[in-house]
Parts: sequence; C-alpha cells; structure tokens
Amino acid sequence: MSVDFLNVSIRYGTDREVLKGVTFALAEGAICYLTGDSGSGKTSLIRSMFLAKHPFSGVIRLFDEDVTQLSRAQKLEMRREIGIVFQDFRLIDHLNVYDNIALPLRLRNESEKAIAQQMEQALELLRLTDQRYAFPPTLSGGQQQLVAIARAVIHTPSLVLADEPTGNVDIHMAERIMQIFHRFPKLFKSTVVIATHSYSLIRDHPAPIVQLANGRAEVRQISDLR
Amino acid sequence: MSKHHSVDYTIPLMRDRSSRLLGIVIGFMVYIATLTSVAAIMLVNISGAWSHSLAGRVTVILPAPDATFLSDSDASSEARAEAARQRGQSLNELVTMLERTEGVASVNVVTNSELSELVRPWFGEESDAAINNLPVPQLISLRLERTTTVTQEQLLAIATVTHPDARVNAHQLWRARIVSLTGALGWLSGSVLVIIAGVSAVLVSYATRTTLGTQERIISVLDVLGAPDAYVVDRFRVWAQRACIYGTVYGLGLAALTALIIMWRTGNPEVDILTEAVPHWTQLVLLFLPALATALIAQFTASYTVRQLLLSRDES
Repeated sequence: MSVDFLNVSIRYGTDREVLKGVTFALAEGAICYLTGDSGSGKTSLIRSMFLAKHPFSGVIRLFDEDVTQLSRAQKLEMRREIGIVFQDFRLIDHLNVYDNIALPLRLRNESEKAIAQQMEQALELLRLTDQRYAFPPTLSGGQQQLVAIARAVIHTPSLVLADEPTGNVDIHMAERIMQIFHRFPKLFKSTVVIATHSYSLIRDHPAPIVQLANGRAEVRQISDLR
Repeated sequence: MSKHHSVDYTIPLMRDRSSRLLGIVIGFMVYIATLTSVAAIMLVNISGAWSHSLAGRVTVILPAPDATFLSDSDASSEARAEAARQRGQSLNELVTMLERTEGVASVNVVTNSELSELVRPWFGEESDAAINNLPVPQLISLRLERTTTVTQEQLLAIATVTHPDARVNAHQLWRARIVSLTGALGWLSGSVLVIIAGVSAVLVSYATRTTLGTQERIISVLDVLGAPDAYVVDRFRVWAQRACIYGTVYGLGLAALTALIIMWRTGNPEVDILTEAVPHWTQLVLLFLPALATALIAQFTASYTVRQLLLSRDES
C-alpha cells in the first residue's frame, strides 16, 4: 500500500480530537478525494500524510513504512518522496518559474543537465514554457497554481497531495488542474490525494472519496453523495 | 559559481535588513573586545616595566647623626672629626657586610653630590649648602640579583649590626600592590571579555530568530519540500560568517583608530609610560583573538539557533 492509516487520531494540544480512529488505505497509483465540511479535518489529515502533524494515536504507514516513529531527518527524507500542492501556492517570489519548479531537484543535488531535461517536459506538460522566466507575483492565480503543481511533481514523487488546489482559481483553471491531477497516476505511477469540497469537480472527474465527518472517515463513491 | 549555488539563492538573507544589523552588532562587540584586550595588554606591559624596575632595588637608610651635636659650637673640632671618622668606619663595615651578603649584586653609597641632585628641585642652587648643613640621612642603594632570596628583614638585621637605628626600604610593598592591581585589572578585563562573548551570543541568537521570522514563509516551503536542516543551517552559518567578516573588519579598524587617537591625545614626551605600554608585535597577534572568538561565537550561535528552531517545527 502507498498510504495506510490505521486507527489514527489527531488532536491539537489538549483540545478534543479532530480525527478519531481514522482507517483507510490507498494502493499505489490510486487517486482519491478527501472531502468534508470546513473544520472536518481535511488539512490535518493531509498534514499528517506529509509528516507535518504527528498523530495522537494510531499508525500511519507510507510506502509500507511506519512513519510515526521517524526522526526529523528521516521525515525530511521521506518528504522528498512526496509532492504537495497548497491552495495558496507557496511559491518563492524572488525565484522565477524555472527556479521554483527546479528547486526539489536542486535540493536532491541533481545535475543541471538532468534538471534541464526534466524541466522541459514539465514546462511543456503544464504549458508554462513561455512563463519560464517570469516571477510568481506577475502570474495569475491559475498560472501560479500550475507552477506549484509542476514543482510538486518535477521529481516524480510516489505520493502527490493537494490541499484545496482549486480554491484560488477560476472554474476553467480548476477544470484544467483536475485533468492534470488525474494524469499523474498513469504518468508517474503516483498515488494522488486531493482535498476539496467542490462536489461538481468530483462529479466531473470521478474517483473514490474519503469523506470526513464528526472526526470519522468513510470511503465512498461519487454515487453515494447527494 | 552558478546563481543557484549562491547562499542567497533560496533564502535571500543578504538582502535582509537584519543581516546588516548583525554585522553592526558583531562589529561593535569586536570593537569593545579589542579595546578591552588592548587595555589589558598595556596594563600588563606597564605593570611589568614598573615591577621590573622596582624588583631589584633596596635602599638602606641610616638616620643623620644628632643635629644638636653637629651644631654644638662647644664641641671641639677633634671630637667632631673623631665622630666623622667613626661614622665613616661603621659605614665601610656595613658596606663590606652588605657586599658579602649572598644575593646582593651591588652596593652604592649615595654621595652628597648625588643627594644634592635629588633635593635640587626643592632647594635649587642652595641644595649643596642644604646637604652640608642639614641632618640628612645617609643612603645606601642596593641592587639585588634577580633570583635572590634575601629578605628585607635579613638586610635590616645586617644594617642594625653597625647602625641600630637603620631602616630598609625594599619597595616590595609597592611592587606587591602593582602586581595585585594588575591581577585585579586582568580579571576585570577577562570578565568584560566573557560578558562580551555572552552578549554577542544573545544578540546573534536574537538577530537569527528575527531573520528566521522574516524568512519563515520560504523556510516552511523548504521544509515541505524536504530540504535537509543542514541546507538551511548552512545558509545561516554563511550569513553569520559574512556578517562576522564585515563586523570584524570595521570593528578592528575602529578599535585601531580609537587606540591611536587615545595615544595621540594622552601621549606626553616627558613621560615614557606609553612607550612601555605599547603592545609588542607578538601581542598584536593576540588582539585578533577576540575578533576571531566573536566570529566563531556568532557562527556557532546562528547555526545552533537555526537548528533548534527547525527541530522545534517538528511538533509532536
């Protein structure tokens, strides 16, 4: 299994648990949505998947490895196998599009020649070739999100996480972004988890759903939703 | 070197205002530390010179003969001559005994003309007459060997054999006071340097935290991308290193300028105190140690602070 949650509970400080006994598993190359109302724990679940939030109890296994006991250095190493996209893009403003996207590869000390090859494919795939020297503040929200997606997948991660990736883009760009995410399992054999509350996009691009409600998770299909 | 290898590539630390602040802070600390060291070295030099000049000097004082006898017009000239002869004889005996004393390098009876020179500032042209007419004590100047073990009490015991009312001035008390004062000032300088080191560490830690705060957004992105802590720590270490180079250059330069101004303003050609105090070139090398220590403290503190703050991100 690529992602395996077993009875995972998450809480902040001494507050009540945001998630209680969440159990689900995602196979390699699977794509699924994470849905639920605001405050239902979508972001907490995503954060625990990229090892930024330690579970209060339970076991999280990524790529068949228990990640709840990893040291910080091991967590950082594991994170390099994960691509993450946020609603607010989180690009580095003083780096141009090319350098933003190439950053994960440079952190892995890959050669500039190898980086250039992978960059050409990524820029072409996301149709960002013309913007390669542009700086993020000069781009539209949709273009910035495309750059963020390119940065998340440039190193062909085993797991791609997206936290409300269409939250700050128009409907046409949202549609395009969903199409792109749905290509990743085939292109990179990546497991993709998209947190969203846009049921219209889910209906247009169907995939299994992990629905969060009252701190519990339930795996559903689109046909189960209203 | 390509731009992405630059320390400023991902985290623009050099463009951060607090980076200039760190350089200024380090420069100020280097400035104070260097001046403190200069002062300490000069004190050691002065005290060494003074201590050395006092160390081997002892003065035996033989009180003047009874003044009433000298001025007694009834005393016969034969009696006076006899008294003078006896004084001369006992003086010679004492000089011989002192010369034979182990550890005494030389014995010099201060002559009337030398005494006259000593009192000339007070009596002027009348100094010769004053020496001849006033009951001035007889002085014997001793120079002791550097490794002597002879004590002031032993010399006094020898002197009182021929002159029961003799006194010995060994300057030891002054020397001991100078050594004691120098030691105290040395500790004071050391304490100041330790305080400077502590304050430097606190200020660098504060500047590092401030800079981490301003760069938090980028650092969180690097964290999400799985950048090793060493990557971020190294950027801050180099940042602190550059601030140290900048701060050390201007701190040392300013300290040198201040030292020169002080020497120029306080220098007195008639008093060679500053000549004795000026650090030797081998001591000048020591002046780079506070700057080096400040730089190392700054780098270590910046690295340590960043590492600890990154670890604290890893919430449980």
